[in-house]
Amino acid sequence: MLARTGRWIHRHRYLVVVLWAIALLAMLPVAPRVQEKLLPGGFSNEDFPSAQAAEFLNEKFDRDPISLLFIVGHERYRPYSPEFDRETVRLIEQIESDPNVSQVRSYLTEPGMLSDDGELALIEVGLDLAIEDSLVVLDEVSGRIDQIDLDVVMTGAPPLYRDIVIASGEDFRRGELVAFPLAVITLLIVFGTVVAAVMPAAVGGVAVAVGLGVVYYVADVRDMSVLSFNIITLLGIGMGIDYSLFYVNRFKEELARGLSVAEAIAETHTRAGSAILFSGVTSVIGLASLLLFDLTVLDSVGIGAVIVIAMALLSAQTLMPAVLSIIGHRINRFPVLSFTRFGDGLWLKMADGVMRRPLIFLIPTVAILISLAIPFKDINPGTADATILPQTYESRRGFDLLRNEFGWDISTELIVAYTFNGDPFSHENLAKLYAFGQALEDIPHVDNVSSIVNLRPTLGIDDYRRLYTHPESIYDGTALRLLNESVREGVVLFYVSGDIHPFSAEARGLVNEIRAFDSQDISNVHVDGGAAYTNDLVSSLYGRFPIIAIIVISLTFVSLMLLFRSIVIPLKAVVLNTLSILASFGALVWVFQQGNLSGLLNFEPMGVIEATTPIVLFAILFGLSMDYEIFLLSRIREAYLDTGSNRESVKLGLQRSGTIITGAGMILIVVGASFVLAEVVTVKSVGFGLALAIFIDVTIVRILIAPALMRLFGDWNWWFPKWLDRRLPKLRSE
Amino acid sequence: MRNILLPLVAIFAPFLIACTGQIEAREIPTPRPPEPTPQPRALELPSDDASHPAPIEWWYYNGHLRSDFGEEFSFHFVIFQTHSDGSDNIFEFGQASIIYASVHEPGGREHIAIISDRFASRQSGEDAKSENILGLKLGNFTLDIEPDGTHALQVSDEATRTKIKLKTVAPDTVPYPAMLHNGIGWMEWPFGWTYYYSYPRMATEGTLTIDGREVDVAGEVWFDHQWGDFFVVGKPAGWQWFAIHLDDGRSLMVSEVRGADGEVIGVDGTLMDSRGRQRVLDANQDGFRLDVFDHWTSPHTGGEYPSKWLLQVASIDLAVIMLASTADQEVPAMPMGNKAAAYWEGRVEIYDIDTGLKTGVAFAELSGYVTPDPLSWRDTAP
Repeated sequence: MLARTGRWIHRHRYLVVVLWAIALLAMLPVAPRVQEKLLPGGFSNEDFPSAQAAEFLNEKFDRDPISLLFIVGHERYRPYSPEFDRETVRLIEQIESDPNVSQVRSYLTEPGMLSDDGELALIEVGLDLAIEDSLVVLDEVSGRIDQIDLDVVMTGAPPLYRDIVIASGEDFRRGELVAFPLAVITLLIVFGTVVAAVMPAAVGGVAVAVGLGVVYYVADVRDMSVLSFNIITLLGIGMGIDYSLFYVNRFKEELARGLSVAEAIAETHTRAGSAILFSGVTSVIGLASLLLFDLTVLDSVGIGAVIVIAMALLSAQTLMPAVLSIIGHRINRFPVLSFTRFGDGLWLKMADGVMRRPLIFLIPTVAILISLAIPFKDINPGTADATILPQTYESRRGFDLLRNEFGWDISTELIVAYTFNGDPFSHENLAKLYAFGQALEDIPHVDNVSSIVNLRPTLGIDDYRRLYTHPESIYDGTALRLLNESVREGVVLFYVSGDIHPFSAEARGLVNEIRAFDSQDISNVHVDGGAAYTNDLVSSLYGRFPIIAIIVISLTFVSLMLLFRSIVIPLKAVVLNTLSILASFGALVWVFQQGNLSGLLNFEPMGVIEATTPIVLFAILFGLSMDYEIFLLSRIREAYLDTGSNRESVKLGLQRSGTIITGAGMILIVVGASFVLAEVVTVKSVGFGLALAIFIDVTIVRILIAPALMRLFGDWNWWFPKWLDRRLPKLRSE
Repeated sequence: MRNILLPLVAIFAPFLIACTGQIEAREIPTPRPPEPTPQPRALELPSDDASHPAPIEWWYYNGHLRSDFGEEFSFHFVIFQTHSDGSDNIFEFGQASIIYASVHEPGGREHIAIISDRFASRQSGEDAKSENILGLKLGNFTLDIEPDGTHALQVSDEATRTKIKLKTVAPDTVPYPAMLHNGIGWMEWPFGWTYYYSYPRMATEGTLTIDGREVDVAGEVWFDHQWGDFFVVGKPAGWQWFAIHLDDGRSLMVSEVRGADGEVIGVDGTLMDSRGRQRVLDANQDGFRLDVFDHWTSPHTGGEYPSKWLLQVASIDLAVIMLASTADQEVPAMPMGNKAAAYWEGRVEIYDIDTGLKTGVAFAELSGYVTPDPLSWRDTAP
């Protein structure tokens, strides 16, 4: 069937090219504007208990969903000096003129809003907006600040969000600038001619442009996160080039064997085409798994990546054969490097050497991978704070000022809402609240609870009952503020501080301990705060991750079994794939969580791995590594069917695929490594994980472990139960 | 196909079970008893004139002064300081200092109020003189307590063209004769405890400027210093407090405290004679009686304050009428404070009940007379 398709495309090559040209022309106006349609955020889910708690609090307490923080200072004057205060009042007036600003709190009217040395002051601006809408308002608000004689630094969630989007966008552009020339050089080395080197880049580029156009329209009907854009583009380019690379390579080989262009297209389509198809399918399986996490940012990466990979597959299967049919033998025009294929002999020798002493190579290499993987057991998935940004960004500078000058320790801060029926000051409700407040104080790692019933440890329930005989008569600033801000009919808030990092496992345990007091029939306990959100995110992601990973691995196993008619080979492929991914995850933890090599790689370790990073990497890498495995095994199986010798087939398979797989891997390693130069730590870590995993895969796994295992398993590699063979559909590989 | 599915189901099962796990609900335990009130320590003066890491603290200066030309003035100068337990926890509400002063000029401008125009933080006003016992500079208010025991206070206000610049005369022996209330300078207070002592008669001199006219003055100042961990609750709770300078040289502090339901829960008094000997007065044993005869209703807050009293202390043969020199000596509510925190602090004349002759002068503080606003989320106070 694939051969027939290949022949049809050859006959209708101009029609195919014209159809693609039409698609490209249709999508070109919208493809560059995809980002306009993508929304900020996407890291939360309205079903998260913390999101529901936040919504409950916003509604019940008329709280602003988000706030901006302005830190103000002056080189000569201090807060409360007439000069300083006059400028502050002007600044507040300018900010308040924005209709989206719902309230402004400052040191002028509130205590506790000065830096420890009294030199800086804080102004908190509440915005009655969702985070998605805040980025536009951000520029509006800052645009209103005019001729104020104060040094103003703006921080808070919206500026942080804006800076992360800007910085990661710049990182990706910078990475592409470094990676693209290196990728072209790699293609030249692999193919040795300009035309052959340009072809994969051109066809891959068309696929990405059309794919992004499709994403533009999909984003109209489904929320997609702007943070997925860079990964979608990166994957589209990488996979597009990869598939076209394998196709062009096989085509050149078939021409070299003396086939006509039409025959070469049919043969290439039959052999490389099916391998590309299966590679695409495994990649789609991996990336589609992201849709199962029910998180917009992962959904977006999954949908976007599936679209661009589908386009890459389609273009490699249709546009590429059409273009090659037109170019024909001119594919070898403009040779620039004469040492193409220099490695073929080398691959043969290496395969031979490994297979002579398989255990000598197998044991240390597996040991190395396991050692690399070991730190993964200590992974602490969490969420990013401003330290993922370099200090050149305003929101990061503001974050540092809050931490260093205002003493905003990195501690766990939670807002716990306790609900009940009726008047908060009834004797019965006060007793419940008092008991709950005491229970919160007794949870390990809680170092402070602030509420209307946690004012002093010397006050008992009878004291509180007397104190709140007329609660509106209390003069005490703290108590009065709590009475006004943390109490409503049927609900009281408890502000809980823990002496632990909000991203730590202990903080997540603390959230769960508090939630355990929720008794649906009597009282509800809602927990809001960074640690609660992190807990929900990590629980949601990593609760599902094992199941989803097993589904992906199983589906991949079944696909490979169908393709290779073997039990051992798919099993070996998924095990090795898992091992190389675990090794890269271990290295990720060792570097980015534990801070090793942080000086060399120029970042500040947060003590956590951003929770979505391993999941996105798994989804990308499982499919990507499997590509190389499929191309290698396809060649080995082809040689096995020709020679009937397991050992010869491995040698030949490695020899025939060595250079091309190395080239393809090199391109993605270069792309990944170029993002290690990124300023945003999460982008840096994705680049690092990608580059390392592929490096491990194309070197240790493919050159050393795979041949050694193939040798050890011998003819068992190709054992397949006859009853199964009869029942499963027949597919062909390259 | 069934042969493939079965092992897959077997592999998935444990994960499916693990992922459906719920947080185990638990009961809220019975609360433990509250911690006991901490035991007081002996006061050390004058070093305890300094600031303490207590939730609430205040320094009061109430003085009666006379110019070289016989004009009489009274003034009230106070710094309140509230802060949490000194931690930097952002979930607590920081520390605050609130400052207020007033000058009373019988027959002239009767009551001139100067209040810090906005909330101020003590952090911004640490004085550079580190050797001082206390050094506060908050906006246009300054207070220094120096190692020789003298107190210097200054305040200026452009709006009212008023200045107070006073310094107490150094005592012969440091500290000034101190009145330790409740005998030890510490007492239980509603919902907590407080250290409380006074220097009832500090000789003071300096200048007052009223409407731009500067006058040299001298007289006596009653200094009150209180810090602790307690809650000040307004109407119907509150108190009446009197710092009385009797012409015979005796000084008397009297206070009557009302609880949350408005009932009187305590009457205290401390008497110091002209030689510095002091005695704690007990409401029952000493025959204390404080009766109110007249009221004044504030046009500013609607608060109905007592304005005329009969004070009797049988054990010291004291029976005096106390009369507010001027009705309107109300101190408006502090910035950021409860409206009901407005109080009356002013000069009171003392007359012997038998002879009708003036026998002294006092300052009275009347707290808890203004009806509070309801809490922000309630339509009406319950």
